[in-house]
Amino acid sequence: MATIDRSLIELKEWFEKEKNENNLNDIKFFPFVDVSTTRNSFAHSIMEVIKAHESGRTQELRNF
Amino acid sequence: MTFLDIVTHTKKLHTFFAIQGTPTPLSIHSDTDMSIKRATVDYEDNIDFIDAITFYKVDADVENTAIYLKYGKQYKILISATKDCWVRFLATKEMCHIYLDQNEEDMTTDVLDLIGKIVSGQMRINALETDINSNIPSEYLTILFAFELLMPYKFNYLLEDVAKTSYEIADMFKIPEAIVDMCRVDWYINLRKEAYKRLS
Repeated sequence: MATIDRSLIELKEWFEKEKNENNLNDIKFFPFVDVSTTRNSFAHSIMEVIKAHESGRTQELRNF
Repeated sequence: MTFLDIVTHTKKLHTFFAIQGTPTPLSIHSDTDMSIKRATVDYEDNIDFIDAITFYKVDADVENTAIYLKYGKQYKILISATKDCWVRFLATKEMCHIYLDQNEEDMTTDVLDLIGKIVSGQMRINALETDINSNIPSEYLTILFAFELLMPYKFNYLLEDVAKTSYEIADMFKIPEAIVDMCRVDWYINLRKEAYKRLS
């Protein structure tokens, strides 16, 4: 639980930092969640994607 | 913004690219090409609020998740999904934010509030049963906008065809079966009919 709680805080901190340092104007998510999803677990999923992207586990999509 | 606005945007999008003579950023539908074309794209010079849109497929242990990020006129779309139909749908859905969320009041200022609204059900799709003139949260408008683009109204009859499974429809348009299921409900089918009739 503590780990997941940390994701909510992490997301908020990341968002504020990104706004202040990189001029992030807006963020949106795909919100297709099921009834078992909590704020914490959703934030955790979002942070997983952000961290994977920032750590280089990402590739630009040029063709769909 | 309302569903009627979405249908208006869908029509404008078709018209805009027709007038400009540029390829559409999304291959909206044709019998021969169902793919989304490279979208960072041929239309950057034509829309003043876009310098670049970059899509990333992220290798995270999370399925069917997408994040839209706006940095001035630069846009990043992060997608974590394994199936092509989800990548395609999520790319389209997040791109729709670019068209819809250009006003300050549309932008997220409190990320935890946004998370809370999504998870608490205030923004859950089945809470959307609505009419064409009611305001719908941006996060869900973009889902419906993407559906309008990728499964055009002229094929609305397929949603009512009991002989077709949702999987068959999803496969035909290369969109997720879950999204077809979500839209394959009377209120939404009728919402489309009313909106397109109003604007015809």
